[in-house]
Parts: sequence; structure tokens; C-alpha cells
Amino acid sequence: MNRTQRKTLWQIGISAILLIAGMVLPLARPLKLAIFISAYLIVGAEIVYEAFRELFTGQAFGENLLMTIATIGAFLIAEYFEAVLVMLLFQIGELFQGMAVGKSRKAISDLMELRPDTANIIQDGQLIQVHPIQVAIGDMILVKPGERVPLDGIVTEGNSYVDTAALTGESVPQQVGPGSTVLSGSVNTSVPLEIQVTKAFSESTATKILNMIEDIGGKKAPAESFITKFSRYYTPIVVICAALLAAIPGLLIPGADAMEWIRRALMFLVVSCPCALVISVPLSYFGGIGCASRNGILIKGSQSIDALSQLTAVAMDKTGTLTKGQLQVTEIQSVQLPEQTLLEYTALAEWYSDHPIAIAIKQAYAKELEHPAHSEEVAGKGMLAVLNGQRIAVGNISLMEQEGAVCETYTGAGSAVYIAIDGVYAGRLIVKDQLRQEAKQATDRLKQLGITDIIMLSGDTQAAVNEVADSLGILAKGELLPGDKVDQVEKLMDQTQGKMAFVGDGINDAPVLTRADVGIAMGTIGKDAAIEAADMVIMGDDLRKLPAAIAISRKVSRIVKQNITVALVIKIGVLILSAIGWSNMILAIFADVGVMVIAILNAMRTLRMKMDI
Amino acid sequence: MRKEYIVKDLCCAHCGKKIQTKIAKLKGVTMAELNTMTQRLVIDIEDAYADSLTEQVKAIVAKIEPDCTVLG
Repeated sequence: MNRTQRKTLWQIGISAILLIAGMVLPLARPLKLAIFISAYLIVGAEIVYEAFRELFTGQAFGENLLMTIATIGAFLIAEYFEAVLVMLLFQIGELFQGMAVGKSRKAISDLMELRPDTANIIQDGQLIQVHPIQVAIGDMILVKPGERVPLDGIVTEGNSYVDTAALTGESVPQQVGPGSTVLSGSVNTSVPLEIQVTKAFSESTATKILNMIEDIGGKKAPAESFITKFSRYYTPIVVICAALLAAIPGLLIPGADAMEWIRRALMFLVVSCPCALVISVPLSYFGGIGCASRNGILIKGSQSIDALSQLTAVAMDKTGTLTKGQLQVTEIQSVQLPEQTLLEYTALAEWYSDHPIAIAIKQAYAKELEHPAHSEEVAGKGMLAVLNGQRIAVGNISLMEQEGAVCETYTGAGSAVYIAIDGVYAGRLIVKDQLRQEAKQATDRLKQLGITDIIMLSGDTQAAVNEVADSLGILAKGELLPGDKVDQVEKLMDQTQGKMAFVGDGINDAPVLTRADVGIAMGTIGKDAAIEAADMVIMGDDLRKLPAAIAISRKVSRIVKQNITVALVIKIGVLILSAIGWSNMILAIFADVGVMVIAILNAMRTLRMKMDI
Repeated sequence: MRKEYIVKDLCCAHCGKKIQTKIAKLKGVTMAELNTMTQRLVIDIEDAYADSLTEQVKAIVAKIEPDCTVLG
């Protein structure tokens, strides 16, 4: 609670005591009136002042003005108690709203802290502290240990470790030195770094992330645009109805009690503020987005939350998404030699190669070779080495043919590396991309959430794709060219009832990410194209964050729907009751402040959401 | 050109929307968005009109929410 809020709380307390005193104490009428008026002024003077300010600056239908008219009107028709109570509860509602917003801001402050408020420019050997917005490209800045990097740049001096957890979800600090790129939002941990700025504040990674989650300039969720439109018409309509209600029956109906109709009109004014919706709907969405971001998931605005909550189909890339994108030796098929010896020979021959398959083989061997054999590359085929007078050929089937070694072609999943010794086939190693540990859990959870259409799209061979898909219990389509993926995604969008998501690594699949209802990129912070194309970014590479994010977005959508329904039903209900005279001021206040508090409390549930990963 | 401000102490969503609408109507402004939660005001404006933007933004905010301060 800040100072203004504490002051308001005092005002509310004193005013409430006076109000009760005015009600219960057996005092003379003028004295009672004096007590009510002071109670009103203590709690409402600021509102009345604001109301006049709004009026004179040409802002019609401000909530302060409406409350002032309603309460002063109530005074004039001698409903003193109601007048004070309306103002009192209105202030309580405002206080509550302020506290809720403050609390929500704190909950999302991790995100805001991505961008520090200050940058230290190095100028003529001196440090000048400025706002990062004032730093130009090419300027030199100093980032001390413990400080957040304010702008993207290149390190010119200093060797340190930076913590990029806020950007990548990677908890191991990254080593940087002269020449390394550092991204804004990461934290320098050990040694001061001098950085030459390469991107302006508005273009820096941290700003891009903020732009993404706020979805600057993007479309809003239908619920959010509905509220914006609704609030634009709702208040004027209710106010006009109030004016008609006050004037017309008094003139037309003979013997009508003018006071009674004015009372009903005043109740309309009290219910005329759409606050409950205007504040609670964006708050709900932002609570969801904030919760996701704390768990390393960036969701682009309210529209993406909505789409995510309606998913019924998911298409996924294989390499890098469901699999690690790193090859591993999974099988050694030796004709005669012990398996370890075959592996050793292969590793020897491949020692100087940097091909991904060679790296996998060397990892599998996992020992230092004392004397790597002399070897040479046979372009497009493999390696030839000489060891203890034996000629060792390691490579693909065409190398075997060249060596005159007879063997069968491998047709299973993964790639085979054939070995021939002195022209005789000796065996082969099977190298495969490995399924991510979490992949099975992730797809199982998606199915539990009712997302039954899960398909894997890949450029890999159908055999390789099928093996992965079968182990996960999902469908698969292999041998696709990049363009084919868009076609597949469109087909799936037609087939499925709800929305459809595509998950990829965000590097080569920008068109698919854009085409899908929800484009999801994994582990791609620092790759701008992916952030711009995607509707959701999973930082790090844990696919289980997808079902978790879907669960969160469903909760958010449910809360938004509840709030809209409850607020509309109560407000419209009370308006009708007021018009026919079956309502009173207390009910009207409940329809305004009460509904707002209920809506905010309900919306704030999104801030406390926990994500199950 | 994209300009960015922080509207500090903004607490009323309704007023935020009003400020946003007013700024969006300024000459040369193609997009204006004020997020009540993050207090960020992001404006896309044609370069020719950008010079006086900060003053205009401050004036609008002062008129609708006098308690707020504009940074940036």
C-alpha cells in the first residue's frame, strides 16, 4: 500500500465511523445532516474536485462525474445515508482496484526488470549514467558485476560470465569475452564488461520481448476488443437512459412521484461504470501471460491466450523439438570383431572429421586415442585410414562398393556407417537422433488435455519419422520439403474443430509459424525472426511447457468468461430492477463496486497460478 | 518511427484507454498503445510529426490523469 492509498484508507475509516454515528446516535436533524455532510466530504471531496476538473476539461461521462451527480442528487432528494454510502463504497472500490493493480504489477515485475532504468556510458574515460533510451548505436557502455545488460552489444573488454536465464531459461551462466555478443536482459555476474552498443533501446532484445508479450500493435482477443467496444457505448447509453428516466415519467404519467423517478435515475448513474470489465479482463490475460513468462514461456498477447485455450490439434517439427537434434550411436553390428574394437577402428578413422556423425562416434568411444591413425577424406563417401598395415574404410554404402566389400544396405531408422577392413566388410554402426526425455510426457499430457490430433512433420525419412512417432503414439509425415509443411498445416487446420498449433525451432519454419493459429518456437531468444513470427516462444527446450501453457490459458479464458457473464448479468439485472422500482441504492452500489471487487478478485487468481511442468 | 514512454503511477484502466484514444488521434500517429499493467506507452508516428510528440503526450496525460508522470 503506498502513501496515497494509506491516506484514502484513513479517509474511508473516519467517514465510515461518522456515517454509523449519524445513523445510530439520537441527534437533532440539522446535526445529523452536518455529520453526513462531513462524512461525505472527508471521503468524497477529491472525487467531487476531480469531477469538476473532468467537466471543465471536456471529458463527459467520467466515473468521478457520474458518482458526483449520483451522490449530490441523493443528497438533494434527502437520501443522505445512501449518498455517503455510495461515495464510501466507491472509494473502497477504487482503493481496492489500485491495490490489485499494484500487486499485479509486482507479480509481473520480473518481466519489467528485464530492462534496467540506467546505462553507464563511457565518455572520455568517465562514466555517465543515463536512461538506456538515450544511448546511441556505437556508444560504449560499462556493465558492472550484478547489473543487467541494458542494450544489446558486443563485448570489447573484460572476460566474464553472463546469466541469460531470463532470456533463454538456461541456468548455466554463459562465458563471454571480447568479441562475444551480449543480449539486453542478461545479468553480468563476475567482471565489469565494456560493451559497444549494436542496437537502440527500442530494438534491443529485452524490448522485443516486452513488445511480444504486450503484443504491441497486434490484434486483441475477441473478449478484450468486446470490452473496449462495450465500454464505449455502455456508459453513454445508461446515462441517457437515466436522464430520460428522471424526466419523462414525471411529465407523462399523471400523479407520478418525481422524486421516486429521480431516485431510480440516480441508481442508473451508479451502475453506469464498466470498470469491473475494463480492469478485470486485461488483468486476467496479463496474469496468465505473467505466469507463463515466469516459467520461461512467452505468450504474445491476449489473442494468443485465447487461441491456445481452444487448441485441438498440434503439429510438431521432429529435429530439435521432439528429438535432441544430436546424433548418438545406438547400435554396433559387428561381423567378427569385438564391438569395442570395431568402434575403436571407426573412431580412429573418423578422428579428424567434424561431421556430426563423426562427432557422435567419437563421443560413443569416449576415450582419448593415443595415436590417431593417418586418415584422409573420400569426398561424399567417408574416410580412409591405415592402422597396423590394415586399410580401414569407414563411410557410406558407396564407399563399401568402391572397396569391394559386400554388405546389405541398412533400411531402418537413422543412418548407418559401414566399416571395411582390407576390402572385407567388418560391420556397421547405427547412428540416430535421440528422442528428448520429456517428449513422451509432453505428448501424453497433450492427449489428456483433449488434443487428439498430434502429428509430426519432418523432412527426415519416413522410417526415421515413424520410429519416433510410434514411440510417442502420434501420427507422422516424413520426407516433407519446407513448402510441404505449410500445406500439411493448412490441411490440419481444415480438419480439426478448434485451433491448431505448430511447434518448431523457429529457424527455418517462419512461414509455418505464421500460418498456424498458434505458432510456437522453441529455444530461440536472440533470433528476432522467430520472435516476430511466433505467437508463443518456449525458452529452453522443454516441450512439457506446451501442455502447461495450454492449461494456463484455459484457466484464463474461463476466468474472463466468468467475469464478463457475472458483470453483465448483475449490471443489466440491477438496471432493470431499478427502472421498475424494485431496487435500492445499496443494490446499485453492489452492481458497481461489488461486481468490480468480485471481478478483480477472480482475475487475480491468474496471478497466483502455478504451472505444472 | 517508434517512440516509447513510461506513464508512471497509472492505476485506472479506464483512464488509460482514454489517454490511448486521445494519442491515437494526434496528427501523424499511426498506432498508440498504453498497457495499464506495464505502464508502457508505445507510439508509432510519422517522422515529420515526431518532434512535438513528447510535449503533446505529456499534455494529454496531465489533462486526463494529473497524478501520472511521463518518462522517456
